[in-house]
Amino acid sequence: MTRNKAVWSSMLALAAAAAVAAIFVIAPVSLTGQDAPAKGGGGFGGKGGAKQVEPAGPVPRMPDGHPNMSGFYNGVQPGGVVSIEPQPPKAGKGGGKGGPGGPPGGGPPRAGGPGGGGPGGPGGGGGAAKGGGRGFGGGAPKANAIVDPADGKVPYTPEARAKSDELIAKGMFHEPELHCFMSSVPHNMWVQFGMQMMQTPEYLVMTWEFMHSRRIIPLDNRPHQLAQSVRLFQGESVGHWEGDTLVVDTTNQNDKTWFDTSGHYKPEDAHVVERFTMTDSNTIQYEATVESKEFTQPMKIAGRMTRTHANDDYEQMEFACIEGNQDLLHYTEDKGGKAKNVGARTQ
Amino acid sequence: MKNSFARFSGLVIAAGFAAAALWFAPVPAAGQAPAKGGKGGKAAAKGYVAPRAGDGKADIQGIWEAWNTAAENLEAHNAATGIRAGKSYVVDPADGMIPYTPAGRQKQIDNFNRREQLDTMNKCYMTGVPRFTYIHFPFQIFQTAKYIQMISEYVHMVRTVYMEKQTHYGDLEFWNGDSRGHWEGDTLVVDVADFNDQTWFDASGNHHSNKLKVVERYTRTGPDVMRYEATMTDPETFTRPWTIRMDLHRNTDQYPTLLEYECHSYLEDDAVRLGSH
Repeated sequence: MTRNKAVWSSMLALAAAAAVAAIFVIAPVSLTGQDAPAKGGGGFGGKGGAKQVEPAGPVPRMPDGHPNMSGFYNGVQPGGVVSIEPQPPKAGKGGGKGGPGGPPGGGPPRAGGPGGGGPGGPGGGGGAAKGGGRGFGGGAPKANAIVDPADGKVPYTPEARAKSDELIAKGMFHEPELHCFMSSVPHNMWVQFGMQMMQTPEYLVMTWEFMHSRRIIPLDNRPHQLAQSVRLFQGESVGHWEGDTLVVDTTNQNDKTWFDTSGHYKPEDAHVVERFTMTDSNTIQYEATVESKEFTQPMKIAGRMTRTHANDDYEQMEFACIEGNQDLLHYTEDKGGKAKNVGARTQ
Repeated sequence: MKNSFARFSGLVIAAGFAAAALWFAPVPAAGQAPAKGGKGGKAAAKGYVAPRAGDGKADIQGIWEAWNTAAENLEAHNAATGIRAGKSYVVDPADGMIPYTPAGRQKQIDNFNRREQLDTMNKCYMTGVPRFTYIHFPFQIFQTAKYIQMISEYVHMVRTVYMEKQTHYGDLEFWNGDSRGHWEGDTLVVDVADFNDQTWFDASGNHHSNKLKVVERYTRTGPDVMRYEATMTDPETFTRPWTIRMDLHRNTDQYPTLLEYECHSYLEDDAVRLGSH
């Protein structure tokens, strides 16, 4: 084989491998702000009955009267499967017609964006509209995951923003899911393929098919136990009830995880307070406030989780990540990886 | 001349292997009585009745850990690098030895001799069952009527025991199998199948095929102790089913907390620290 042919073969193999790997590691892939599919939520895995959920009814309760959130839910919508920040809409053919916005509750519904489609964003208390079709090549802006600051961007200090930009441009090798890391708090709440809540009187246990991640939240209002020096991927969460709202306080996270898969890293000192409020049998309102010295102000994320299965026989599948991970080998040096750049690739 | 030298070397090498095999071979525990208590765990304190959990069944929740050498080798064995000496935790057959086919036993010896390369736990892979239960990491049990979750501190493994639908998939292979549970009185019985053949039972190369089936029994025998039994059946590897038995001990801290052992993350850090990055 001539040298040029060898070079092209290698590039094709790398590109093919990366493409195949991307499908398995982070699907969906595009940066036009597509959320994880809101319907179903079983997504990639899951087996069992596709029974639709029952129509919404009153909040189910534990024997002690607290809401019982047990069941299967999609990830927090809007979330940040790819990017937690709004992505600029790309020029292109118009998207499909957006669905009607929900009835306005508090704030005004957002107008659909350019491209002809787009969600009527959630009004204060109104239901979120079904998003419009994405349209070929075009991207309608979705509602922001970050509601404060109002521009939907992570309130990084200038130094932190520069670090995030550098990661996005040159550091994709450090993307946590590539390494089979758990996604951390709050990112785990919007990873793809949905999740299961299992609630006992003492604990709320969350399990994800994706990465077989888990969060274990004690509900007994215990104080934080861990010394500051002990850092975990999922941090240490402690929970207590305020009426029908479960308040979860998370500290002691490490510095290896992001808010999304784009490169918006999570500062190690992040202190996260989440509020889970079940509003009917199919809906959990979600809020997360993140504080950090690498922010200019606290960051607030708001969205909702929607029940995806009637519970009867849906089962999460095993997700063996480390056991089959070939992806690490494919990242090239210009992205922080170890594989040699091949040929004259430009960014 | 060439042929006899080759034959002689072959004999020397074979003798070496045989000697190694004899040294590391499991030591049969002659004359051991089948355990009611004693070797296979404490007998239940007379009349102990576990409190009830929210599902109305015996409460087996908490953070549990084995304090024994099953993770090193289920059979009685001598110490080796990284492996403590230990008694057998096999209660049936009565001689405490895993009833391998001849080929199965040879493979175990080969596995042991190349354990650094072949034990998939060295690559941070999931452990399989029942190794999940007795590795030197705690695991936490949460129970409801429909699901019982067992979550290990090691690589955040999650075993979901389905308490309603009892049939396995049959056409899938999982590292930790597929678990279906039911109660027999105050004993949780878990039927596990749909395994792959990639995991070992311990660090000494005790192994199985993808035809493995495991039946576990969890019974609280005191406030902070649980008897654990597991029966393995695998006609491709063993001549008959065999059973292990041991105690698991509860974490009695004021606020028991499962931490993390994200093994693969440390391998990456080590590569940097030791300069192989």
